[in-house]
Amino acid sequence: MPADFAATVRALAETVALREQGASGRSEAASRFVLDSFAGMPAYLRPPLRAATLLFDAWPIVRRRRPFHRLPPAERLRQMESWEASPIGAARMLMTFYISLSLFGLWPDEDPHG
Amino acid sequence: MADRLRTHVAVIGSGPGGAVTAALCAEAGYETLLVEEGDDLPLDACAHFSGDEILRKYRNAGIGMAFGKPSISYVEGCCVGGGSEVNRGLYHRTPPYVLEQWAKAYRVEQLSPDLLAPHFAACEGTARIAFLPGSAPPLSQRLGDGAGELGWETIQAPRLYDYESGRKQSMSATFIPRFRRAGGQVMANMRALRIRRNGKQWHAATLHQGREVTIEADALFIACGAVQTPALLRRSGFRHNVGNSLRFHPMLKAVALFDRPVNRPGDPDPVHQIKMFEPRFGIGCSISSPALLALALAGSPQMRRRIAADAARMGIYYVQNGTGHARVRGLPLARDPLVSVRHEGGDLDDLYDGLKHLMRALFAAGAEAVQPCLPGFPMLHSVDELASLPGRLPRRSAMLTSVHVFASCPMGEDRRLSATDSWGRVHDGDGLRIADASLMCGPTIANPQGSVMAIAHRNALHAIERRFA
Repeated sequence: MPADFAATVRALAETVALREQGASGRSEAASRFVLDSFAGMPAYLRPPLRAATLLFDAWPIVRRRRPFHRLPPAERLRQMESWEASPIGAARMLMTFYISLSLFGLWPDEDPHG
Repeated sequence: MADRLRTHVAVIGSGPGGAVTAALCAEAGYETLLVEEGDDLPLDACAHFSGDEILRKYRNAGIGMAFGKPSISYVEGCCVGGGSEVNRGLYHRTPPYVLEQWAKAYRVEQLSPDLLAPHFAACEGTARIAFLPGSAPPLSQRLGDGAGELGWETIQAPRLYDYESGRKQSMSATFIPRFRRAGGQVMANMRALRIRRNGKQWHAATLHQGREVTIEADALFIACGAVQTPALLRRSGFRHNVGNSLRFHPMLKAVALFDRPVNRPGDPDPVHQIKMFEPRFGIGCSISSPALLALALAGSPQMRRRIAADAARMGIYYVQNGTGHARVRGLPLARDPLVSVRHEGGDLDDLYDGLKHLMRALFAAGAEAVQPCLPGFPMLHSVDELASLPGRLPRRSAMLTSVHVFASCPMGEDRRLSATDSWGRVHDGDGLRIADASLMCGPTIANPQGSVMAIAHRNALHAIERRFA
């Protein structure tokens, strides 16, 4: 089962949605926002971010024989939280990127500002 | 569209600097073309601070990064009207001490508060600068109350806002209509690739809907913003002090949980600010929608869990200063430049000290709990718990964000430091001018939009008087 970038983003958004209490948005909208943000970000940042995301997806293949996006929800959450607390800065930054954007997408902002 | 467009004046970039410059040139009778890389969208095309707005009106979907220890994530507008379309419109004239500092350090001519005052006044009339009528919303007032308890002064900042109609103001609602009324033409979705001098004209090679279009102009102003202006100039061979001194107003944030609702849907944007500690740091309050609370608390799960039930009792507050000196450099084959930043230790310490001051003010305002928005930092329940925080800002967990970028091509007569003369003319640039936040000589700590507009107004009149020589 190969790593899959879009499926990993969707799985991360679903995992964040699962952990979030009370967020009224849908994980589909959050993952769409993350993918649109990825498409709009500076081009030179996209290849390393995509590579890191695919590495994250492939991480459990050796021990679990499945990529992240094919894991059951509880195992996805465990992997996401372990990378979130990783001593490796790049791993933490990767999770910060996805969790922040997913959170923003999960809390729709419907009230007007003025 | 033809492959070549001919005009008297071309202004590349339609943010506050470019829009003011273009309006004055058009009103002076010059055929003027205002070129913008982003879309031409009405001010109300998408909800303010929504995901839709971020994707449609921000550069790179709101993802900009200055790499350093710590890095700074920053945002810029990318649409007709530039940053003025997406910011809150908080407005300040440049503090007199800042102008004096710039004039002295960079030898900027005729930049005293008195000489700049008419330019501020002229811009304020069109941009509809107004103070909030009546009392400030509770989220804002709490900051004022807390500061008052501690004996600190606060102000209520004016904004680009029409409080009668309840509508935010921006360049697309003010200076750009004025530009169009004077006969000016806006070209959206047109990205400048490079510029060059050709005889007595400037040629700007641009990309518009996949086709290369050359703009031929007698006079050229570059106003692409403090990151893209130096990137364009460096691509075009102008490098003297260009892109070596980019500055930010990096922020640290804290979320306060109060005993009663402070954050009501439909409230006006908060306006209280604590300015008495500037330039070490300045303090203010932010829009605090559930989405922005979740974003601010991304690394703070304990407080984030309260959003669903308690968002109405929560408010986001910030402290900012001028830490970070950055460089802008092009990358081979890449559209966006690389930005790298380094920090002076003292500036980061000042910012962290500012965060502690902010949290003291929030507890003094009656906050039940305050969460510093730094991963791994605990939620605090009393002012005494501030003593338990690390003595210095841990660079590993520092999450600095900025909504202001400037000073990448500073002006002045001191050629050792400046990229342009006192009026925005690029040194040895044969009349090429810069007209945006790049010209500032350093941080203002306050929102720089007023400074950008007034300096652009001053420099555009100077250029017109001299027929762009």
